[in-house]
Amino acid sequence: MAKYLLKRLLNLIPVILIISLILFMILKLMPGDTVSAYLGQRKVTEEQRQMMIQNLGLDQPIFVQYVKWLWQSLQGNLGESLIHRKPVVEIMGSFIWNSFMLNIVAFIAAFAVSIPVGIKSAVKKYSLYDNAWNVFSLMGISLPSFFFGLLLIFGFGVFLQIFPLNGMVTAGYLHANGFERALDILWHMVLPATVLMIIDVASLTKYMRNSMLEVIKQDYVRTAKAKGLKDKVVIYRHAFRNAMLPLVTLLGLYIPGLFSGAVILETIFIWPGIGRVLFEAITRRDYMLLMASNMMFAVLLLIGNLLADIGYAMVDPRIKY
Amino acid sequence: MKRTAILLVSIMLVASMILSGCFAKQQPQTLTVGCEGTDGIFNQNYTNSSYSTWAINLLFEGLIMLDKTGTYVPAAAKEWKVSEDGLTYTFTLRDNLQFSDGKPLTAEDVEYTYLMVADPKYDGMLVDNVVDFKGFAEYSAEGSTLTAMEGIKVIDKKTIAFTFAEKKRTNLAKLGLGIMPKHYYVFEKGNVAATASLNDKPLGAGPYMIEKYEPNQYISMVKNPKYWDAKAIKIDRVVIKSVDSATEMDELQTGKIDLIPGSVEADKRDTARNDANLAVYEFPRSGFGYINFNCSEVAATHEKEVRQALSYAFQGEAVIDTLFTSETGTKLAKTQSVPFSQVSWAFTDELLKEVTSYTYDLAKANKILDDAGWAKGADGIREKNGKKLIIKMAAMPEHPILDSLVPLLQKWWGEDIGAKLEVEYMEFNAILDYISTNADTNEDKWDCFFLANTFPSADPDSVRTSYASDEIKNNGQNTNRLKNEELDAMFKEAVKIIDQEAAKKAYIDIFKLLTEENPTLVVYANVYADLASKRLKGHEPGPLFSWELNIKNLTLEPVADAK
Repeated sequence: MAKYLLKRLLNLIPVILIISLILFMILKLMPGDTVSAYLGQRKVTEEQRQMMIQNLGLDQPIFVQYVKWLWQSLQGNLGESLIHRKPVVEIMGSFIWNSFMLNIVAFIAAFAVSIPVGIKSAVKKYSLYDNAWNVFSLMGISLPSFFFGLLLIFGFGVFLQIFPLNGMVTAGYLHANGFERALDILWHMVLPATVLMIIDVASLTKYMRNSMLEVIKQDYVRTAKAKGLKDKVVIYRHAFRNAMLPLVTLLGLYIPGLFSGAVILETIFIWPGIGRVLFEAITRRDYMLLMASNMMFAVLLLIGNLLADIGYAMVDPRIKY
Repeated sequence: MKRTAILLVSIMLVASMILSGCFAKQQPQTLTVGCEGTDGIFNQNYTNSSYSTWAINLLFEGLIMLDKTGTYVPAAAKEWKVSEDGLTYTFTLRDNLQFSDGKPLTAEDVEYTYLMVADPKYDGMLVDNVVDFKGFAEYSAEGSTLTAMEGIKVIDKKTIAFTFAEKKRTNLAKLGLGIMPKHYYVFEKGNVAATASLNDKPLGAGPYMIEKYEPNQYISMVKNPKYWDAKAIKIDRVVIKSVDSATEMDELQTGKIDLIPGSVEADKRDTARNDANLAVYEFPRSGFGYINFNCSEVAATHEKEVRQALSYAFQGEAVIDTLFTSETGTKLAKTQSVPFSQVSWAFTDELLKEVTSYTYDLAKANKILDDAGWAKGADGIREKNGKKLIIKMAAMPEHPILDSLVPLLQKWWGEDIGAKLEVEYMEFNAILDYISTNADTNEDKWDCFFLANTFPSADPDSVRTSYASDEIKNNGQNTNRLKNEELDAMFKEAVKIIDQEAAKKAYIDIFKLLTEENPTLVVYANVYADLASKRLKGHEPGPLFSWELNIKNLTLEPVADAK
């Protein structure tokens, strides 16, 4: 197993390098460059424009720029964003954390709801409970997130005035301490997290249900029931533990998603996450920020995949590497 | 399961009811302004956002500032004198000026402010403010060891003199930069970028000082007790908050924000008009949406007759009626015949009488083309010297205005006059590449494009570079590539006239010639509106006079009853 792990990790290195090269080329081949996007039609002297281009190293051949970027990144210097005038790491750090907070809460809530619902739906197949959740799942998958988000904002924010319309903290309110701030954030998180959660719940319940159905059909479950074990024991101790396997793989693939931000949701809820920042970075050709964040997502995805495979091996004794 | 669900929901409802009381707005005298979001760079040298500029204008103060008529009036300086030759401006600062940290503001800080922008490695947008100073080239040259510039002279702690290389009416406007403290924004010459780390921790001598900044959420500012005119400030706190277009009206109507400046949409204006608690303040935009024609030799629009014909065939009023009039009849824009700011002092009735106005006249359009030798071919498309009248337009896809405008143009610049319009769709940055960044190599690929322009200055000289021969180059400002030496000379002479009244005649002549050449077709000049709570008093917005410049006249009535 250790050998397998090592082999997989070593394989990641050339993959990451190739991804970074392709990513870099794509960004540079897009028409427009950072300096033009930054200045727009503003007037600057020719010398100043040249100086800006030189400062950013944009006058050198693309491959040279790539090598320079690679060399700097390996040393930990991910560059500075021209748009924000700050080191890329600082920008990513603050905004990714905001997105992560929202995503993890939605994620935990989604799993907490989906697993019991999925199990019960499978056990009580075609019952009213099952059908109701089925319809609900379909709605959750088909409804566009921004529409649902706006619905919640108008319903709970404007009409009932229970939750705030948008933002992560109350504008202009100075928190007395960290605890008060955390409470403010949680209260603001309810609506956006609900939207995110519903989207996830819709698909996760289906996954759980199908997986459970597969397992319930099996002979050993029949045997367990025949043995006279209580229903709860049969379902949770025997059936669920096996039905959980596909979900474990899913967990690994969810990891990169936790660190990214849904642009649309963050825009309507004015949540200061990484999604909006990156969207703006694309239109303004902020290469350093785009490279660093896209590379991060790529690496997270690869690691997530690896973790999913390892997780599968750990949970399923049939799998030996 | 059902019980836990009910329990959870009830806990949430109770908690939210308690919490919603906790975080209610605290002081009645807090003005909350909504915008698309600041970029968090509260430093005039580096910001790229007009919303951050609001905050900067409240946190910093310059020697002079604009009043509502567009005239420069004393701010941190109590007076100034101009030398005989019109090249030197000497300012006297007010007594006892202090930054918000208590340290005194002297002429050295004023000098420092401009040396930051003149730094050899400065890469922001304000270079234009110092480029005309005497000795700029020597000071800003790479590797220069000069510690002072010839054109900036500190005479004593309260007096400073600026000398320009040439006499120009526009020189005074360069001297309004917010004064930055030398002791705080420290850097060594050649490394002004080191001050960027203080972008979100501003320190100035303006009417307000920063209280809290939450990235991509809001910035809150409180009255600066050290400001020289603090007793004139009636609003204790200002919060500039990010809002979203979909929900901003709800925030305004529920009192979460008090002001939405520069609103464009008609339905929001109608909603505000129908709300007893809201007021609408309309004002014209200092800018417009336009179509620029390619005047270079290789373009189909090279001849001025073609450009004139296209303009006569363009149904300007119809565009306003279909695209810029709401169902309730609210007009959101108007047509404009001259390509500079309609709020300029030079934009007089006299000027409008003298210039060529291209009011829709299809017969005239066709006649001009006939007379110029563009004969209709067998396919109905005009040609001259073997060249067909095919007009290539560079346009942005999924653009709210272009989506409706392009089909109209295809008819007006198609069968109506015997031409053909070919549209190439590309993203904004790609268009910029065509017309500016790589303009020289791309000049044969387009004949017209549609963009919008905002003029931060009321002075008509601000359009000089858009039509100057020396700006026809890569990264140049002249995106229509008009080359008219007589026009160049006229602009150069007109800017030397210091007195505005005297200058008006010169600009009548300039725009007479420019509208005849007609490189720019103005499509629409918006009417913007500020939407505000009726509690806000004293608000008199103009396109070049936004709310924060008028802060000394603004008051906010307390909320009538607590919610």
